[in-house]
Amino acid sequence: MKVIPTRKTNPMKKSTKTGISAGTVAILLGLQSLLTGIHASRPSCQLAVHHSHVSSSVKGSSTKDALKINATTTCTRDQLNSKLTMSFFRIKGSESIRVAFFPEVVELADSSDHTKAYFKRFFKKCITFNKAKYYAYARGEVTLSNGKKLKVSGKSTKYPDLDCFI
Amino acid sequence: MQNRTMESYEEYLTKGEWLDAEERLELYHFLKHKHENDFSDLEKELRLNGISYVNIAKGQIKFVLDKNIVKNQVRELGQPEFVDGMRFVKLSNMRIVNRKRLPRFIAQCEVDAIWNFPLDGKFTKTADGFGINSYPYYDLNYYSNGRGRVRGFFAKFKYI
Repeated sequence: MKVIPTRKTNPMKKSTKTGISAGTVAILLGLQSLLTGIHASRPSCQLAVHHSHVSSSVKGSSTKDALKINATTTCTRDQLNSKLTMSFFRIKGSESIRVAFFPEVVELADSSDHTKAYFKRFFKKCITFNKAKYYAYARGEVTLSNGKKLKVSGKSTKYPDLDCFI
Repeated sequence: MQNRTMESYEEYLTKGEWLDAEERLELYHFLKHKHENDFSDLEKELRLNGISYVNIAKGQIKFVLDKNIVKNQVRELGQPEFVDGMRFVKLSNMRIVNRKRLPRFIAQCEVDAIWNFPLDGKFTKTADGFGINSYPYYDLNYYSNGRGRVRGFFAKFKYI
């Protein structure tokens, strides 16, 4: 007697192409959304070190020009303050020479945008007005409003020719 | 040195963010020396009222005493809100200890205020907000940039 196989109904339907059950797909999708959610809720901060420029401290005078490099920390959450240590480097051919170092400065978060802190106090007076190129490297940490601390670091990406030698 | 400081004091009050590290340190020593003679007035007021105000340059410092800890808050004159000055000092019951701690603490807070809220003058102000050196001048960590007081002790000789 020939037995004709009958097709059993599987409660977990499988894809004919991948062989993954609908339940597994649902679990994977759930895991993915959970991980994406965790990633989205994880705060992060970035440090932008701006390019060097010559700034005049005395209104209407060029006698007190200084090399100045600003920086900004920006976070995905509100911050309390940011701390930074900065060094200025002069580019000479293929070499970089550290020409200034600034001990750690702490800036409170900007009063109008608590996700940012602005650093505008790093400068060194020009000795002569010979042409030179500079960049800055800064590192430090940001304290978020929930007390969490995040490390940041960065350097200038543009090195304009400046009439300032320090 | 003392004469030079006295001569440049008025100018320093207008320089604000343009005070470089050496000038701020010089200002600190000048103000600390000044407060070695008058710190007891502030101490008495703090013990009596728990709060004392000091105006310097365009800034106002509010010293608040809470559980023997003095904290500072600051604002630019004319502004409604004080912000955290991020400095504090522990008061001792021994006068001889406070004689050392308070003058340097007041001086440091005043340097911070001048750096942030200078008098109007010829210097261009580009920075808003409030920023300070993380380590005060009376902490040896300032000289080692937070790498410890022992290193700071030796690094300090470079500044003298």
